[in-house]
Amino acid sequence: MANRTVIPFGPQHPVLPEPIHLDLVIEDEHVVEAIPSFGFIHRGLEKLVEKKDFTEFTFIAERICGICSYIHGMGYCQAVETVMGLEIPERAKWLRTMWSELSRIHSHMMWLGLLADAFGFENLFMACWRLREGILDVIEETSGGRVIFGAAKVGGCRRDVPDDLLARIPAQLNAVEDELRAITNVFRDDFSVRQRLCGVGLLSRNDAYDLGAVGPMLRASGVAQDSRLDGYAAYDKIAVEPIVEESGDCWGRTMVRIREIYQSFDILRHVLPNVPPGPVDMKITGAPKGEFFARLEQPRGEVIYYVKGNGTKFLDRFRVRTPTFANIPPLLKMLQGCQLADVPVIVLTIDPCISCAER
Amino acid sequence: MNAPAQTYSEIAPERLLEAANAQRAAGSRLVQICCSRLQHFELLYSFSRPHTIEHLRICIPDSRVALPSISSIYGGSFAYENEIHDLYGITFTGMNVDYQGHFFRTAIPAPMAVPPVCAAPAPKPNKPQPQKEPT
Repeated sequence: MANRTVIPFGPQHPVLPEPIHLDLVIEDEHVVEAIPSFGFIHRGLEKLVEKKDFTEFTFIAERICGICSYIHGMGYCQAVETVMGLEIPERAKWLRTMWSELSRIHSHMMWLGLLADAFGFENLFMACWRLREGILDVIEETSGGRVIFGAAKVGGCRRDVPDDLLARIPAQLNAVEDELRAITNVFRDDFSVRQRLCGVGLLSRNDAYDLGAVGPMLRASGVAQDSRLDGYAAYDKIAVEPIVEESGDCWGRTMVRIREIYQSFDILRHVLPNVPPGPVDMKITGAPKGEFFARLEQPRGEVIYYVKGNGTKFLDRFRVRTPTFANIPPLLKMLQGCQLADVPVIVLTIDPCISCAER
Repeated sequence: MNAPAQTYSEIAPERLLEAANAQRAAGSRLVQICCSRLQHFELLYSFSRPHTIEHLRICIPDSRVALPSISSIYGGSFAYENEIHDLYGITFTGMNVDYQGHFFRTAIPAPMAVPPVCAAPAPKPNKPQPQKEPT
């Protein structure tokens, strides 16, 4: 029997974008076990809800993470609105859908770049991130922010988007999409990319379901689960088909995210001309009393926001179950038995966001 | 909105394994486990299947009460249970993966177990109305 060695991996590592620490128990070149630990950037944001007015807390919810910031703010607002029995204006629902899909595109494009970086394809990494700037420009034009949108608000949206701007966006998206096809063709067809992804990090359908995987992780293992089918925001008026792959490996997860980018372009082409006229927010009176779990689909997967109000302006409890946290048990399962050199790629394919997972 | 109906039901801690087994037999997925520090500790186990989300609520008076782990039924629950143990100090017996308090690196043990801050300002007492002197 070969000697066992423990290799610390993270929280600072050249190919690791997030501060997770894994103790990798290695036998020869194979990982026998991975032992995770968190807490490097735990900020106690959930506890902070006891000291902040429930309307002010939207700003903190948006700052849980810099990539899915808008959906964090929107999910928190949606949970509070449900507890308070608010029906927000129709225009606000469509604008929320638009920003959610823009978030998905820019998050997936960023992830594609990070994956390319993880397997050593620097040019592909730079091409993905250069193209992502086009989406960030649209986000900046519509919301005013490139990272933190600042557009979520209990009762609707903090700002409106002029109709002439909404009419201009499809042309900008088409330009990005045309260029993106050349890049995604490399992910699909390049021999060295396929060598690094195909058959690596296998997760069976049963393991994905039993271990609680969510989002592209779950869908790449053949389970058609997408929270947008619940019909929050304006998704009840849009046909969303979950993108499913059957291979359950890193390649499958990459293909799910690539296809989801194109699906988001299609959704935006449907949303942008159909944003109805009208107000984007409503007046709030009273304070939330009751509890609700809001379930949304972030780029990384299903996210849960739990809000419990006591009738004052300070909430009793706010809880976020992020997709990264749900994907940790499947990650540990995938790492068992893999090659040491494949660890960065496998970790990357769950699209880890530790600032989300730790809050 | 086609959101599935959400139901809440409170169960005793000793019925947790039985209830989790029933959820598993019904084909439910474990969505999350949430712990709240109110005046007591409240745990919510959420299970979903198409068109339904069920939340099982368990209330315990303090963190010294140990709860059975459901990781033998739902293998992925160990992440939630280790998180709750490290942040709230609640012990789960029979976890399939027990990190012995090293899952979350915290500077102090169980930092979320402190009772909630009562941030709502106390209502202001009514000011006594000056009595007008009869003219």
